[in-house]
Amino acid sequence: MPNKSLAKRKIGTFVDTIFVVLVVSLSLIPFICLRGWDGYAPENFTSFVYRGENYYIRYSDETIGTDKPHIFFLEGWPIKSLVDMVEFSDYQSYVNGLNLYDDFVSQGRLTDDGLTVSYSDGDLQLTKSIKVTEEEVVVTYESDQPIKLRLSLWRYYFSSVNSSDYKGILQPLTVKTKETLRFEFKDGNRSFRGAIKLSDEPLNVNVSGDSYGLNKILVTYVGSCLSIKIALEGANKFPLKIANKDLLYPLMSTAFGLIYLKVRKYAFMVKIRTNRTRN
Amino acid sequence: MRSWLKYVLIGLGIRLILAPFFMHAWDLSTILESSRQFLTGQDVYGYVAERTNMLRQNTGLPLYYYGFAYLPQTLLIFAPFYRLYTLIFPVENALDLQAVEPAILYPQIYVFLLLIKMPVILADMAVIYLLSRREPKTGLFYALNPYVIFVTAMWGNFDPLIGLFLLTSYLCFNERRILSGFLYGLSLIKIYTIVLLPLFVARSLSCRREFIKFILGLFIASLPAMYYLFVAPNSFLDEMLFQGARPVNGMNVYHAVLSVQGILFQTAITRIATFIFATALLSLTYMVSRERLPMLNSLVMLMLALLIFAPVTNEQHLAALVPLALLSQRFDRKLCIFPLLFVAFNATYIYFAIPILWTNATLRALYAVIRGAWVEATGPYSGYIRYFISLSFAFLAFRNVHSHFQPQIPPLSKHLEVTRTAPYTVTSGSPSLK
Repeated sequence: MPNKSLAKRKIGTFVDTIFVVLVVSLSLIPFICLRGWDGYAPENFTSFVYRGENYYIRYSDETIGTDKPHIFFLEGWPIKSLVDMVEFSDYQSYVNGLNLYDDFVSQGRLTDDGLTVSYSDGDLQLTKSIKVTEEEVVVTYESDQPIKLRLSLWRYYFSSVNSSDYKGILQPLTVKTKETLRFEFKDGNRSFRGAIKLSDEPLNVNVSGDSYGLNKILVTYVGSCLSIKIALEGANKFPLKIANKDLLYPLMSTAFGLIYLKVRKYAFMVKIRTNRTRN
Repeated sequence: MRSWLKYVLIGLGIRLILAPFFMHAWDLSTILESSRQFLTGQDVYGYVAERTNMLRQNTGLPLYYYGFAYLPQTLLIFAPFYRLYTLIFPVENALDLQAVEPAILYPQIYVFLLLIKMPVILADMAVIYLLSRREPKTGLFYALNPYVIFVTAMWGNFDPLIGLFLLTSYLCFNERRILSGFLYGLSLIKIYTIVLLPLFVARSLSCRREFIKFILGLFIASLPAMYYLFVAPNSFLDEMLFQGARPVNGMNVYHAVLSVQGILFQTAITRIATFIFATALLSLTYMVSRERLPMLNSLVMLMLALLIFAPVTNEQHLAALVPLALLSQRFDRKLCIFPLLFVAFNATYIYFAIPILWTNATLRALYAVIRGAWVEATGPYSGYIRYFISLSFAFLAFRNVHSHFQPQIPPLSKHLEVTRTAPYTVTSGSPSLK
């Protein structure tokens, strides 16, 4: 009889260990692989979301619908929070004078490389693709014919663009055209610096704002392919790659597992309720 | 006044006060839309299949529309109450709770919420009665349990109804096998109670006659499903398969996986989760059969295994177990705390107050402020908090499964006490519906 009881106890311990190993193994999944795109279609439009170790991207959020894409930086340790970087607004972007949001029919598809969105107005075919690497987000516009593309990049607010804060400027102001634009912004008390690198020299670049500050960068380009790379410069990235990973899930599951096994070892008593009925 | 009646009235009062003013908009919209379609003769499952196709065409991804994916018996329960609502408001009764901005009419919404929750509230009353007749304190516990009240009266989900069917099916099992099979068949309105079928079948197999009776009851309860299987097989089967193919979600050991974006990745993980779930379930079913554990303990253990290992475990699922589990002396009642906490970091409590906070512009602005502040305050941490709660629940539930295997040790006080005069006695014996 005691042998049977001992054997049962051994089986119990083995099952407990398997359970703990399973829970810890599952918690390692975000640690190993954290990037990917998701899509959903809440009503008549489609939304996409990307999450990686450094960037979080929203494409056509259900509450806004015009942010295509909205780029956030993931910052902090061990819990990361979103830092709003820049938003490409279709609502304020034009191709040959036609509004990208209102005048084109668009459809997004996820591919192995990222998100590809096809725009069509009957005559013109335009493709916007979004690819994300650990370092940067690349948004590429390609059309089947040369076009005049006017893009709007928003943020409430930029502290400066190319080292100038353009204070008091409400009307669009032309910035000296370069293939790389540097911008600064604040999130809470912290300042961040980013860069917008264009694959080709644009026709012109304008900035504009409202009474609170600078909130728009307008890029005008003529051609059939423009690639825009957006990256945060000098952000607090940890030298050890492991620190950029999501460590909290494995830490929590391991702690839970160890506590559970420890408690089980001392064979806690289970409260057994007695059923009582009134006569 | 008899204690069971007192507890039933207390439970009823609390639920009736809360029911008209709170809701889970999406879940109740599913009942509303399906009842409307059912009463107008539309194909409920065809509609969901159509929306799923549209989603897939729009995104190119293997997404599912989260609509009515329950057995049609559900419609027979809820549609009469929806019909009553449309009789009270013959015109201007069109609530649209599925829109991104739900369209809510006043005072129609209050009447609708009260009526549509009535089947679940009545089920709670039956549970309180059945529990009180066995153990008055347990009946009172169920009547006042914040988790059960939340699911029934505020959320408006019908898992407590499944709880009643499981409880009564168990109570009838020894004496009225056809009724037991019928009630178990009704519990399948949310397909997850299928995990108990092998156990019910195994326990019926000892007597061929009893087995046939159980299957007959199950068959009668499944007639509406058979009808849909006959008239709309594709859309009906699609929806039933959807329940088995949903990507991992909810309050379970897989919760960490949700932080990884990517439907294709999550679909792959779901396959692994399904394998783990099936393995755990088969092992446990084998063990409870081999150990010849009591039926009640076995049912509770299998349902707990479902909550721990199923790829999708929503907060309300525990409500289907609570009525049955409260009969078990070994069930850990603390388990009810975790899903209630989980809601705060998932849907958020304020979300359930839409019917009262959308009555005017000022309250609606207040709703937006409170919800925004809560989401902003908890946003970066909510995934980790949810995981913490999921782990707490999973480990406690796992420990509880273990405890059902341990031999019952009589309480120490029983040996020490010299005499224990009436009115208390310890109950024993086989279950019955009396």
